[in-house]
Formats: sequence, structure tokens, C-alpha cells
Amino acid sequence: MKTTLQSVPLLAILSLIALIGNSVASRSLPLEATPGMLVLMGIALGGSLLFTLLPFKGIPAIVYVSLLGILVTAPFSPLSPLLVPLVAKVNFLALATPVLGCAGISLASEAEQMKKQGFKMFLVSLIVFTGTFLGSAVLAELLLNLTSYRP
Amino acid sequence: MKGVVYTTRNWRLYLALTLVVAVSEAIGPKKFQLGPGFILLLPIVYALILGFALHPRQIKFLRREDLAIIPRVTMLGIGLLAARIGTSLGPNLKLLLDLSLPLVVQEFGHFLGTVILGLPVAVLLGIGREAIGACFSVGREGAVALIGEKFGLQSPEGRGVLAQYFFGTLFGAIYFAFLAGWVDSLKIFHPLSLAMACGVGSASMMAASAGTLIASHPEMKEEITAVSGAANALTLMTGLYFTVFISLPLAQLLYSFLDRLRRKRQEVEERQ
Repeated sequence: MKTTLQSVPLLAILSLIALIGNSVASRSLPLEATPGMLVLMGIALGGSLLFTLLPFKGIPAIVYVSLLGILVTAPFSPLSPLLVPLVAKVNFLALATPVLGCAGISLASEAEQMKKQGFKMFLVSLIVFTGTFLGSAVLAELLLNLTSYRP
Repeated sequence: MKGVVYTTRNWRLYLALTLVVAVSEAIGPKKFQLGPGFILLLPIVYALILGFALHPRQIKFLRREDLAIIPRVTMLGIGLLAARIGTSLGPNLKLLLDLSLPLVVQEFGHFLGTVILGLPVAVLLGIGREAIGACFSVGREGAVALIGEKFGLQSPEGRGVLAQYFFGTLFGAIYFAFLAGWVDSLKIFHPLSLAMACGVGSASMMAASAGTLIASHPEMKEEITAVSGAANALTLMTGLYFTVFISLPLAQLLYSFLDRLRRKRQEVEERQ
């Protein structure tokens, strides 16, 4: 509980940064997306609280966060007509941009280590990623065709 | 109030990130041709590059203390992403129910694809038992824990999974973004099949790859987010069981088989 509360200031700052990115991306004012961002902050904090309070740790915290997100925006939720249009103003990709920015900084920290790993392992990692993606895409496409579902 | 005081110390990082984000979004998406398809460059790619440039090694602005809170910031960012994914899943529950069979079946694709494609290539390249650790899964935290328990992280298998984890953390998101975009531009797969494929069990990899699909198919943005989010959650939740009972045993078996073939070939070559 305490650590969740302690993250609030940092979360607020990050949300502000993401909000700025979002407004640049959507060419709109930050004020428009602010309620949506506050909703998302609430969901993130709520999910994190759930994770710390519930004893079963087999499920990662972000699953609780997304579950909470589902619950409040599902058709059966009384809050969904209010919340869905609000969060729609927050661009999904715009939330990813600051995360990748951080990843970039981390990448620079690890640059030396990277050279030690060797090119072969790097190549293998790319093949592994490709394999998981294509394996799944092929099966998904097959099943989509078999069930002749065209949404 | 103590928390607020400590937090404001890292103002350099916040300023840096704000700049990175603003510039990246301002540049916007750009398309490049590659063979029969396109590579889509998105703000997240620019953000990665700009972030790299802002490291103290390159530019003197951020300090060690600023770098230290990056893992926390990343985690919070992923929390926000997860929240946004949930809010896309919620309204689309019916779509997910309709797609429940393909969603479940494509999980097998995730867990088998790594082994089937990765191991032969690794063995061909001359890699030893590291290949087992590297190829049995995408190599996120769960996989590292599993290998650590079974073989120990000092073992060759351990080295393999750590290398995979390492490269995944650094390049995973970007590579998946490029891959998704390029495969999509080939127009072989339905966008929602690819959306499912994006759910590999890592929030940032999923966000980057699904994001690329969304950029090419903006009219489907909520559906794509919902489907990838669901696939990602499935992979996260079933990952442990799939890897323990299917991928890892398969990887060990296949490696033994391929390794034996490799040795036989070496013997034949030596005799000649």
C-alpha cells in the first residue's frame, strides 16, 4: 500500500510527460486528454493496489491493472459510457513513447555488455522473435479462415 | 511530502524525457520501402534513438541518480499502458469472445515458433547448449526464472536465456515493431491475426508492434489494441505452463537431435 502511494508523484510526472506527447501526436490541447489520463492513472494505481493486497502472486501486477481497466469499461459497467470516451482521447502509442525513451537511455548503459554477447546470439535472438511472431500469425490466420470470421 | 521532494530531484530526467517525447511525436510516422513491403518508423523509434543519445556517455546532462530511477519510470509507464489496453479490451469483449478459439490456438504458435525456427539456426551457427536457453521462449523474466531453477544461470542454458533476455530488453520492442509493420505491408495476413501475434508476453513489445499495426490501420485501432492485449495477457498467464510442459522439453529434444546430426556431419567431414 505504502509503495503504491509513494509512486504517485512519479506517476503524475510521467503522466504529464505522456500527456504532452499525446497532445503533440494528436495535434490537440493537453487539457482535452487530461481527464482520460487521470482515469488511466487511477486504473494503474488501483490495479497495483489490488496486486499488493491479494495473496496470489502468480499473476503479474499489470494483469491486475488491465483487468481493472476491462472491468470499468466493459459493456456491463455503469461507468463505461463515461470513461470510454475520456480514455479514447489518450493515444495508446503516445503512452509507449516515454517508455521507449527510457529504454533508449538504458540501451546506452548496456552498450558495452552488448558487444560481449557476440553477434551470433544477437542473430539468434532476432530469429527467436521472428519465430514467435510468425508462428502465432500463421496459426491465427489459419483459425480465422477456418472459422470464416471476418470482423 | 517527502516523496514529492525526492521526486523533484530528478528534474533533468523529466526534462529530457519531455523533450524526447515532444520531438518524437512532432516528427511523426514515416514510411520506407523494404523489398515487397514497408518499414514503418514511429515516434517510439525516434524516442529510442534520442534516449540513447541522451545518455551521460554521449551528452553531459543526465547524472547517475537520474539513471537510477529509470527502471521505476519504465514500470509506471507500463502500468499506464496496461491500463489503456484494459480500456480497449473492455468495450470489445464480444469481439474477444468471437475470437476465443483463434486466440487460444495462436498461443501454441508463440511457444512453438521460437523453438522450431530458432534452434536449427542456432545449431547451424555452431551454438551449444546455450541454444536451449535462448530458443525455448522469448526469454522474459519467467523464462529466466525457469532456467535458473532447472539448470542454474551459470550453465550454458543459463547463459543462453540471459543473452536472449538481454537482447529482448534492448531490441525486442523495436524489432517487433519493424517485423509487424513489414509483415503487415506484405498483405498476406489479416491485421487481427497479426494483432494476436503481437501479444508475445511483454507489454513494451506488444505496445510497439501493435502500435505499428494501428498506424497502418487506424480504423481498427481499438480492435487491434484489444486483440493484442488479450493475446498478451494469455501469453503472460499461460507462459509458465506452456514453457515448462511443452517448449522446454521440446527444445531439449530437438537440440539433442540436431546436435547429433551436427556431430555426425563433423565426423564425416573430418574423415575426408
